[in-house]
Amino acid sequence: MNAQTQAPTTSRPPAATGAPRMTEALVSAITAETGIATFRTKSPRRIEGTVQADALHSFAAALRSRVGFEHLSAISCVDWIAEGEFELVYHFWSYRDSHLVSARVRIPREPGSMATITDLWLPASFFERDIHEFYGVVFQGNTDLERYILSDWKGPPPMRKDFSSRDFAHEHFTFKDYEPTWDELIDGGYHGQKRQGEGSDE
Amino acid sequence: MNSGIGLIVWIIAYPFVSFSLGVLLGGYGRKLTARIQRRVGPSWIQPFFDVVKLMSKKTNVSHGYMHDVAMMMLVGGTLLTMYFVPVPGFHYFSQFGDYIVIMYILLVPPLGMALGVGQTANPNGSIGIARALQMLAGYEVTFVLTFIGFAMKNGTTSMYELMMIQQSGGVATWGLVTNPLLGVAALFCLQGMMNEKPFEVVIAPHEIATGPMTEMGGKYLGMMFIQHLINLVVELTIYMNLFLGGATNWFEYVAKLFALFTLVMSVNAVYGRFRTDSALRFFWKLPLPMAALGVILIMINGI
Amino acid sequence: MAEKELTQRTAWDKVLANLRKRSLWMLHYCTGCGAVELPPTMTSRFDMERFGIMPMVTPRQADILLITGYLSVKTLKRVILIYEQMVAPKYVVGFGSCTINGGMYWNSYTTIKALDRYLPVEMYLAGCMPRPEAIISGFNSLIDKIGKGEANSWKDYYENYEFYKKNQDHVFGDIETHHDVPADGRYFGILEAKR
Repeated sequence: MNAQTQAPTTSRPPAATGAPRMTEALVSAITAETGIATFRTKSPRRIEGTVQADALHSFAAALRSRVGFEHLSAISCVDWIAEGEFELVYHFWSYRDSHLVSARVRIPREPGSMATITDLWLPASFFERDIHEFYGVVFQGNTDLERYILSDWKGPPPMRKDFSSRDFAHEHFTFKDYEPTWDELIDGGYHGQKRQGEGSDE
Repeated sequence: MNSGIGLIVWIIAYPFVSFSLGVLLGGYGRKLTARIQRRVGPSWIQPFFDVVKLMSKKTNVSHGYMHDVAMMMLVGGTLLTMYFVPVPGFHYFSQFGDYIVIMYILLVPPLGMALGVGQTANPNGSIGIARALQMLAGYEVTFVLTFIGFAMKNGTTSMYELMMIQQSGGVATWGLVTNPLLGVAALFCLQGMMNEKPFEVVIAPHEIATGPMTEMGGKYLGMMFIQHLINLVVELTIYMNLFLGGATNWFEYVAKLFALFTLVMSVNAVYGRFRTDSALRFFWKLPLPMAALGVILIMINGI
Repeated sequence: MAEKELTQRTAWDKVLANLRKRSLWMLHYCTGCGAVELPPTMTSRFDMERFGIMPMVTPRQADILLITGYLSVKTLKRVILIYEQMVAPKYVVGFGSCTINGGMYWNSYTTIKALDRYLPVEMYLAGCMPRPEAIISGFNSLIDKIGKGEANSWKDYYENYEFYKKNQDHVFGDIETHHDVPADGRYFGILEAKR
């Protein structure tokens, strides 16, 4: 099925009518309408499941137009560095049924590429821009992936697990000349470790 | 005192006298507000420190010719108004111009401010000026109406003569007593003219960053402060001369000035800020009909 | 340098400094949590206005730039733009641990650690957060310094602009501000005096 023709951005999906559906009814509706059957109920009013990366766009379009999940609540990202994967979590909300659907998508960490859903929800651009900035995921088809919060950022994407905030801060910024000892009481102390490891204090 | 050496001394000394009075009034107002809010409050002559500080700053920001000239218009216009308003012992200029002249030159400082702020091209400043002009539409009509009524009743537009008529019979002949409708309506207008709360929408520090003064720093702001302090005295004196019988000596003058300012600042301290539309609605619903009724009554009785 | 300035002061300068210290207007740049200590400092409980210190809302009118809390790289840029718009003499007061050495953002990748590398800081108020008593005590010492003519750190920005510019460029790339800082320094008579 072609998602773009089914759910154009300009026209809203038909307003949902009738009584709110129960969770089980929704899961079976999602399964029937989208053809993806891996969804389960996580808690009352929360439905969760895994979607293949290339099926996400058509899934989201069907979810929006046929099941009535009109609102894209958020897109979040998790860095599973041991498995070499990013997990993108798309949260969809239905106003009629008051249910949240979380669709989990795994993409390989390199090159970290994903199709955009800004043609379905224009506000998705905000989340995609944010994820691009903090994780380096490139959303194919999104034309507005400018720097957003880190406007003068020169380092690697900072929310990746292999990015050490502490090392970056100590390389990039200059501290005042004093050797704090209070942090040794907490976690061994950055300066303490450095002194023992390298035998020099700078 | 209104001729020869005495006159020259007055002309030279009067701006300084007026400024000193303004400093005392401004400091008193801030102290009063602080006491109402249960604070200790600043020094009694805090405005003087502020002005000295501002004038001693090294001002490296000028937005152009008009920005500089506007400050001259601001202070000059206020000083000119000050000379035309009679005070005890000095009413030389009031014989050359009646209240209608004062009305005209009272508009010079706002005009200067509008031109200067226009050149700074700061949006907050422009909003402040727009609001000031809107507020002008609120209180100016009423204030002029009260004056017209009062002038019709007494058959003169000279502020000095009006003052003398009121002084002829003690408190019973004060404008506020003989024409309470006009006097109270003008009191509302005075609050608006002085930009005190609840009609503070022109300055509105938390909303449009002090409006016209946004882009003014150092000496520019110092000039505006001087103008503000002198303007304080001038506006209170105008109301005093029209409705509180003016003053026969300086002791009475200062006492009345502070009493009137206490009233204004007390209202200022306990009120919030009206929006422009609320303020205009207020001005056109309460003081304007009051003033109109007062004028109609004078016309009926007078004929 | 402070002693030299002190001996060069004329009687008029002394009078002026003693009048000027009675009126200080501050622009508080409330990026961090420190701003929450300022309302009690200004209102009835501690009443900052009795020292002539008042909050002001635009950089043009202010004498003190109060940095209350951490500065990220992005906000530091705005602070520098604000600082250069202020009319001299001007005093930067670093408020809270964050401005001194990063505070609890010690390891953060976007907050700057030492404010005095980017702007000339007149005074630091240590603490996380400084209580209103500490703020008032700090401002009193600033008032004393101004009265004695020792609060001259703002001149340092014009004298050692290369140092500040280098550090600013290090975090921003090339920053473009609206003020020609060396020209301002010449206008204030600082750069001539040095030559």
